[in-house]
Amino acid sequence: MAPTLNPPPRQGEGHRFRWRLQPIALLAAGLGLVALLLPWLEVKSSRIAGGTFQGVWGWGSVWPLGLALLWLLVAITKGRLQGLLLGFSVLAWGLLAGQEAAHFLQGQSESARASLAVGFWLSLLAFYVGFFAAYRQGGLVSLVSLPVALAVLIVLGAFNQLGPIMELASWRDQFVAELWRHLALALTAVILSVVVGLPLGVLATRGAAFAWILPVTGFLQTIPSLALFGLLLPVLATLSQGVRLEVALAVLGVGLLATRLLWAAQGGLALLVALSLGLLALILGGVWLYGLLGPDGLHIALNAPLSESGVRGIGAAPALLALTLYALLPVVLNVYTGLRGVPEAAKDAGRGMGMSPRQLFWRVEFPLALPLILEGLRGAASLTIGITTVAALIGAGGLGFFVLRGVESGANDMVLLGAIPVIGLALVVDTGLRLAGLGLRRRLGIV
Amino acid sequence: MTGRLEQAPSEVAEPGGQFTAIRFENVVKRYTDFEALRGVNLEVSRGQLVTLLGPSGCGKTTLLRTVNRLIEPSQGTVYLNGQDVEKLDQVGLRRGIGYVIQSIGLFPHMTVLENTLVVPRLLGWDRAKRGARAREMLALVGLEPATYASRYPRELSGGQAQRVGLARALCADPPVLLMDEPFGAVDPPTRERLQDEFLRLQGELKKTVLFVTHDLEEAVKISDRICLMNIGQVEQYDTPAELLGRPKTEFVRSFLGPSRTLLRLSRVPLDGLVEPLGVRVPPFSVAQTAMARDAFSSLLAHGGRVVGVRDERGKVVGMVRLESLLQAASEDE
Repeated sequence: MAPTLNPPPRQGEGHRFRWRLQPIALLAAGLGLVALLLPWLEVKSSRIAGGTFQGVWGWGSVWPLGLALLWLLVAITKGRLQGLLLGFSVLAWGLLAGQEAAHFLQGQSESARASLAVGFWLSLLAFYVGFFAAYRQGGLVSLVSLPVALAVLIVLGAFNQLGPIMELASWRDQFVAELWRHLALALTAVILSVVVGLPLGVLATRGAAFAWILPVTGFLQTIPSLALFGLLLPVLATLSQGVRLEVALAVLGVGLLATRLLWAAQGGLALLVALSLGLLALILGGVWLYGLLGPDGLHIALNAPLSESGVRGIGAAPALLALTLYALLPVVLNVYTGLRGVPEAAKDAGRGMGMSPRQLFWRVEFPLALPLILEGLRGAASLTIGITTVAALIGAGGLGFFVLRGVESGANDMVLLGAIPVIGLALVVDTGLRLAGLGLRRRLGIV
Repeated sequence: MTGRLEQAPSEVAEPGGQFTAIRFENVVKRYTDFEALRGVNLEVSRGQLVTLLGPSGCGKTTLLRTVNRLIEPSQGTVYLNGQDVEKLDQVGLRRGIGYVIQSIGLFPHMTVLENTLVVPRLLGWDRAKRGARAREMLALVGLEPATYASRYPRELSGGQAQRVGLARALCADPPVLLMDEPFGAVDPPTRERLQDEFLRLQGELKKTVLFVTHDLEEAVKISDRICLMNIGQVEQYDTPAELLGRPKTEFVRSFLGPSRTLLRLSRVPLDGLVEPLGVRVPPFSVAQTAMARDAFSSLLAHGGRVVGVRDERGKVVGMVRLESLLQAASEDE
């Protein structure tokens, strides 16, 4: 049989084991190996006491060796195999940390804690880098293997002996409530920022009269949240004590009418009135939407001060207002940029073919701007999930509660109990919306 | 000798007459710092293809856009079929006029088919009717609907995109087409093919077409009449033959340039110049349907004095002498 000169290219290059080094994977493996030399745990007699650092080699086990071997393999593979190996190293990492914690806590008192130390975190960083490397060429396997490995670890209870999880065990009910509050606060703020930001972004593209919108939304982001809470507190407190709900609603209705009439005569004044009314509507709408979504229930009390309906100087009302104002910039900016980026030729063709301004907007401009608008939503969502942590400062709760309490009492594990879910949520939301944006682009034919 | 140069259709436009499709009456467009149109008077007869020709900034695109009111004149009136366009509903007016622009302006988020049936959709045609019509239009402009209907604009070549633009403009069967440098963005061979096919289509459809171009050759090739413009005014409005033969002003003469004689030949059909074959059959030939300019080019290329003329089967059936070509070129000067 004659040998073929040009063998056909093999399918599925990614499956094959390859002895070629990649810098990013190498970095990940290096970090992972260095982490093995550092202490992973800080074993303490109580949650706020000082402790002793413990490495992974001291108590004799094959696990550290196995993990080191896995890291070496990760360094020299690529693609799907690499993604799979990373999944296994995550497993090994979790089991190792769990076993180590169990080992050192054995025979200690109930209050003893195994807090996480630098080696543990460095391993996490190594996984982050490693998955980044694997995802770039391997695609979906690495996206699947990480959650699967984490799920297995959780089911096996590998983390149960670690500090933050022990905190979770003692705070379980409160944790669920605060997590719910956190999500409800963030979701409400994002919804409000879209409801407000979308029209503002559209207006910003409509001529010089609205040129103030972008600078103002930009400025809002620079106000420190504590200062904003401080400013809102007396205003909201007065409002909630002195104004009845039906009065507020009547003011909104009459004000809307007045703005309409004022608009022709006194544009500037009308704008001011509209903005104040908008803020009032934002507060009421926000508190009610949050009541619907959150764990604390919806209260609407007619014939009573606004405070009975949940609008107070502290709590959800100022938190929601601040979060909404912060989330406004990414939404407004992306709506503006997206609409500005619609090709002039498409708009001209649409107009020339007889689309009314409304049809032009909904059929041409909006769909073409949608991918960027969704990017803005993504930015707003991940940002808001992060900064909702400050809501705890003004008594609105959320995961920031644990961060604050942890910092106050010097219990790092409790800080982590608040911080880790926030980071995880932000990452999940970010990834989800990113994928949704990709899908949308494909459907719209814009890649 | 008369009758050699192609004549404009005998349907002559009378002011406001029933054959006039578009009439510009003293149209002025002023912007803050300059005047784009300085009193344009122009009549376009029904079923004619009129090009607005001129250098950049001469106001030709501005004039075109006053017809569908994308630009409102500062003074003067534009009549479409005898009606002042300013008194018509803007949106309805535009839906009744086909519109093709240089950058094509296909909607990137819609497929070829969706792009094509935009106007019928705006007009509220039912789904089956507009779909069938759009497919028909795609086939008409030479795009196989089965292949192209579901493609997106980014998957098309420049020429294909331009065809979709034309199909889209024709889809609701408007009597009037406005075309703003529609073949400006494609490479020369594609442009020529598009021009040929557009001429063939126009021969069938007999739309009233207002066509903006800065390309003299294109204007000469496709127009029934050319309106040559300069700094917001009409310099000369004539058939291509008249324009090339009798430039009225110095500007027209310089715009046409030294090649205007050669260009005239591109509008002279060969039929009037063909003589019966002599004893010797010329060694090279051009198609019977070609223009005098092709015959002249062939003579220049081969260095002879006689070129053969062949019928559609490739048989040489006659010949054209260099002398007749020279005479046709210099006629009426």
